[in-house]
Amino acid sequence: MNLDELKSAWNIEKTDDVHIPSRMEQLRKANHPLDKLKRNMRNEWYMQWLALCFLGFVPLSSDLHPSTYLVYYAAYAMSVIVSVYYLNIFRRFYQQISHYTADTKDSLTEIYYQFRLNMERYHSFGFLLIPLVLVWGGAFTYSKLQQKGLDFSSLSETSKYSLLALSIGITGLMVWVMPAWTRFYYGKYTRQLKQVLDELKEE
Amino acid sequence: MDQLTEQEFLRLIEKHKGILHKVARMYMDTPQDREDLHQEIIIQLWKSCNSFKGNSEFSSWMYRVAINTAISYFRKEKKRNDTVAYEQAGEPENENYDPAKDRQLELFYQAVQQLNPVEKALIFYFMEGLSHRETAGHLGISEVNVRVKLNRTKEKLQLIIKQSGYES
Repeated sequence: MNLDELKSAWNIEKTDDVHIPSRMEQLRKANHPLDKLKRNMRNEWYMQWLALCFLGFVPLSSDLHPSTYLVYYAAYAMSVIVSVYYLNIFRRFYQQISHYTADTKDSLTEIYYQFRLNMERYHSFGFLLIPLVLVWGGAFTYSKLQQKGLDFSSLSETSKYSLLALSIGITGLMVWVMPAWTRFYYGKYTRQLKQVLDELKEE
Repeated sequence: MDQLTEQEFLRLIEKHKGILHKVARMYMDTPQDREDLHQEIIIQLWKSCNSFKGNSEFSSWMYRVAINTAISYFRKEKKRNDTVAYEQAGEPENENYDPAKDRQLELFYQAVQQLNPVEKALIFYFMEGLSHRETAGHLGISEVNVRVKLNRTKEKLQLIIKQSGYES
């Protein structure tokens, strides 16, 4: 097949399958993967704020001993301050990511690395919760011991090692869960982008 | 140049809707997917409208946004028959068209479905008559790279067409 000769048919091809609306509002909402991801991120942003508010009431709902409040809220305040930083970055990210007007390689490269960077930010944000969970776990255990008139020094060696193992287990689980979460939601799209970028490499 | 109004924008899209038709035919293999891509490209063009400064041709700007959208509009994996059979090529839609050329074009579109997104972009720009330099500018790669990749893609396309049983 001679592609140069085919250009004449290409140039006069019918285009009546394309329907241009009379108003933009007649089109459905954007369905591009990037727009879907932006919507996901916006929802997650609200969920993260809700979760942060919820964590503020945990001492009251989990029957912590009042003497542990100071320790818990000190850890909570640290988490809130760092969370505000992260949540602002996430917000700026989903407002800014746009596409398509630069050349293909630049557009896709920017989107790809922005996503990779944001995935790493998600991981860091998740890891930030580890100290808070551990502080809550310690305060909760201490409160239960206090109810029985005991404290940490009265725990047996086995119980102490079990608590240590539990803390390491929780930390390990969080370190595994966060990357799994980002891989599930963003991994496929970034892999596809990377594939196209590899195709554009110089030969 | 002042920002385009909605009506001016839609008039320009109407004028250049051939780009939408061709990009969608190259990147999507079902009418439903093509219609979705038409809409998606129009939305992305509208969202990017403030970046069109009027320094370049509207069509040139539209090429870039349309191809970038199509390339990154990854569909969910679905089963489809990737083999192209000449016998399956559709009938010409318009009697005024040269039937032989129309049939070739139909087969060409079917064969193109087996190319990867970057190869499709290269063939699209080639068919639109863009020079290597212009194609390189749109894709963000060197002219040499365009030449090498385009030659390789044309050979691949010819092979696919040949394997479908087509003989010129």
